[in-house]
Amino acid sequence: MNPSTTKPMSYAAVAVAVILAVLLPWFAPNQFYIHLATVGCINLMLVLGLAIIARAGQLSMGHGGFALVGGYVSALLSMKGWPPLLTLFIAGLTAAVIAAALGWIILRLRGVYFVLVAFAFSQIAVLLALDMSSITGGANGLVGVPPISIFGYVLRAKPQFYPFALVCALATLLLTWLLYRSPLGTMMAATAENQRLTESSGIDTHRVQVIAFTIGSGIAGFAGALSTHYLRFISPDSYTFWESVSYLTMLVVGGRDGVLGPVVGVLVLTPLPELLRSTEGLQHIIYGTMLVLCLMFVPNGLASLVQTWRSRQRVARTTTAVVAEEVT
Amino acid sequence: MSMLEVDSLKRSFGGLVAVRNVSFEVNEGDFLGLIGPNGAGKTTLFNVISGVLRPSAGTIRFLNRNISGQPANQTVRQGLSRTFQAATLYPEATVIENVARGTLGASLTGLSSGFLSRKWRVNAEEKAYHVLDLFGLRRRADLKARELSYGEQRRLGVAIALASEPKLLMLDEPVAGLNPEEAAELASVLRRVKSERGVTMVMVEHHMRTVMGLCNRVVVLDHGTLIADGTPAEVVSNPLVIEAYLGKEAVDA
Repeated sequence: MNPSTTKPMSYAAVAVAVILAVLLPWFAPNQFYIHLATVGCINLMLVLGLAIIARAGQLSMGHGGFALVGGYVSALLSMKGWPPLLTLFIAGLTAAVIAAALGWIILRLRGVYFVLVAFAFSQIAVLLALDMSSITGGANGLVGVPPISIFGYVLRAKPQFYPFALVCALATLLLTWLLYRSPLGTMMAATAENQRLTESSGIDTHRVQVIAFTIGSGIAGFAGALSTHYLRFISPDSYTFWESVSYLTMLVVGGRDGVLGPVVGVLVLTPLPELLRSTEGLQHIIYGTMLVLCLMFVPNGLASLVQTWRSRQRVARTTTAVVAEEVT
Repeated sequence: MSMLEVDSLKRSFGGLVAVRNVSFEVNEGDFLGLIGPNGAGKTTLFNVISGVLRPSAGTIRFLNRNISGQPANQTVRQGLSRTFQAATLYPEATVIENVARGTLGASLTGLSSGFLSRKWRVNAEEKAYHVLDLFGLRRRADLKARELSYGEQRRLGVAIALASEPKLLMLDEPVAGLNPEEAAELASVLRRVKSERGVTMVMVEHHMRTVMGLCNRVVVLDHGTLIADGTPAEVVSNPLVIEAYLGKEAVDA
């Protein structure tokens, strides 16, 4: 999304969407909808993290691994008595530090090699969680993770947790938007589009990609921890390879450009399996068919439909201006 | 004063020596032409100087600093930019965004700046518009780069390199693939850039009319070795150069 074309109309649309999200608990028919919305908020953070990495031109297949690390760090520390509100941030920081160290080494690897190493990392994270059973509880995971409490107000039930998850998701959204508008975000987009040219414009593209990987994975760590304190449980199955794939699917279906893509992807794909549940055995077939159709007809994601419409207007304006200039 | 000193530079790929013991200097204000038959090692020499490839031996000094083998992005920030043979740009970004991205490396102090203020973008676009004016591309500013004609894309490629405010600009075959009018237009743009911005230039080019019309000095490379260095008139009458281009019989004839 090019910020310079953002119109007052877009701001109004954002305001309406935020108000609807805030009011959701009042018009939700039952608590299941609130649960879905909370999961959506957590998914949004994870997909935004992935989008930031993709913005700099890299595909992370290990995104779930960082969420898993964040979840375990926050669970273990809070079970030792640390305040969960603090351990959430420690979880994000831990994931970011691991990503920075890993990224410094593996981002020298281009394309498919980076994908493979990131994938291997997420597998190692799962295996470590299984094998270090004296600390992590092995395959049983950790049960009874303390809930988050804010100044003594404990977020135990769904209607209490949802506002906190929404605030976290909106804050991530805002930060991502600010990042994309900043010089660093511009360098990330430039690196993704033409790394050689960006390098010869005096930008250290390796550093830009490591920073993007660090920020994106740090967000994943925070979101993984948030989810762990919501479900009050984490196990090696919480974030497997398939979770990494599903975040990637949300990003691709929604769109990789701008912050609108992840929002659309999460809004469409988080409730979809639930909506299809009534079709019994057909749900996976319908889900798969919808993905294939999306990739065939809107390869740049559903959000690109909005951008196509916008750029048509832009070209029309420019053409009119050029013609007017050449006529006079 | 000498701006770039290349001393006994060598680069080999396995057993193939692409650049062999090459030494030359570029003085401030020069427009140096680098010519030679196909496969002479011109582009390799370019890539080694600009930091895309590491030298196998020898040194490169730019503004009295040793830049041999340092990463390309650092060399650019010190004031040495280069363009690429093919049209190298950001095809999906607008023309103004292409050039604005070119300004970032040279003008920013840190990566954490500009998160809340939009001043950096105003500055970047202002600089970019100046460059677009110089290249006659301002009217195309809001189009996507891939929507430009080939000639305009080549000009945009040079504009992006100039946006990093280099002291020395190295052009890799800037007029290759352009028709005579487009080539003449680009040549006049380069002349204007040189006089208005005082940029020293080095150009690899096959198009002899462009080289003779623009360059005050020419160096000739053949099989990775430097065989001539002088004014365009001196170089074209040099028997070694004629031999490299036309063969030994042509010299004897």
